[in-house]
Amino acid sequence: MAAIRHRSDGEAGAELELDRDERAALGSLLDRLEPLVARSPRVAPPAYPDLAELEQEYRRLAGPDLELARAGALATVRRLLQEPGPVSRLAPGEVEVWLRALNLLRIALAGEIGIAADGWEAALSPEDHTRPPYAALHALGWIQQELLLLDPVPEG
Amino acid sequence: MAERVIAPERTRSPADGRRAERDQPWEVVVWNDPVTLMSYVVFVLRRIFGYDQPTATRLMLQVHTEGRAVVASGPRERAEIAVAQLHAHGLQATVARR
Repeated sequence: MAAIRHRSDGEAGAELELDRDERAALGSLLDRLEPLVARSPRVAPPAYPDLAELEQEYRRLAGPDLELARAGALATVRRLLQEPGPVSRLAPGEVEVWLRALNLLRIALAGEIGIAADGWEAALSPEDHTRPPYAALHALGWIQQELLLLDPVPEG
Repeated sequence: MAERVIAPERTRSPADGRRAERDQPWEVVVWNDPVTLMSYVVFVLRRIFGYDQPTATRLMLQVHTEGRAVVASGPRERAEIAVAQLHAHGLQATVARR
């Protein structure tokens, strides 16, 4: 079963233990969600929702870098999942990239299945929680939360 | 009787306007998102703004309960850079005039 913990070599960062099936399942999820990340408006929100000229300038200046950062984060996750495993080590910077990638995947998926307000979890039946989109949301959230519990040290 | 001399009124040039806009404080606003983990919001606020845990937690709770929180303010360019960093981390954030 998947485990996320401090690195056993004593270095900062995280250690992910994922067996072959877990790596395959996460890789498959990534394949299916990556196109959503590319087109989800929630992934690329406006900086100036009421100031069209500034928003246009922001999109022009920051948009390409943000798009590259998103693609790079997903590529970092994919690269690790392709390691033979079962144990992969992340440097502190990679932990942050994973956290960013997992958040992107979750907000893109949430947009796709129409989660728009707080309270959505309580509104679901127990069966709903096990349905694929929600189970995926929970699985990605579990990995993110486990990484956060390691208290990644903010870098200056 | 000498004609009364009225000092010409100082008018604002376009350059003045630009300077005034630059100097006006702008706010970085973070908005609630129903699936983003609260612990992740705290992490991002610490990471980007260097806030300690209690400050970042207080701001996160404000986002969660009120729907939004002003997490920083300053010149527009700096506010915009912070918003781009927040966007890179997947948070809903905007730049707004104070």
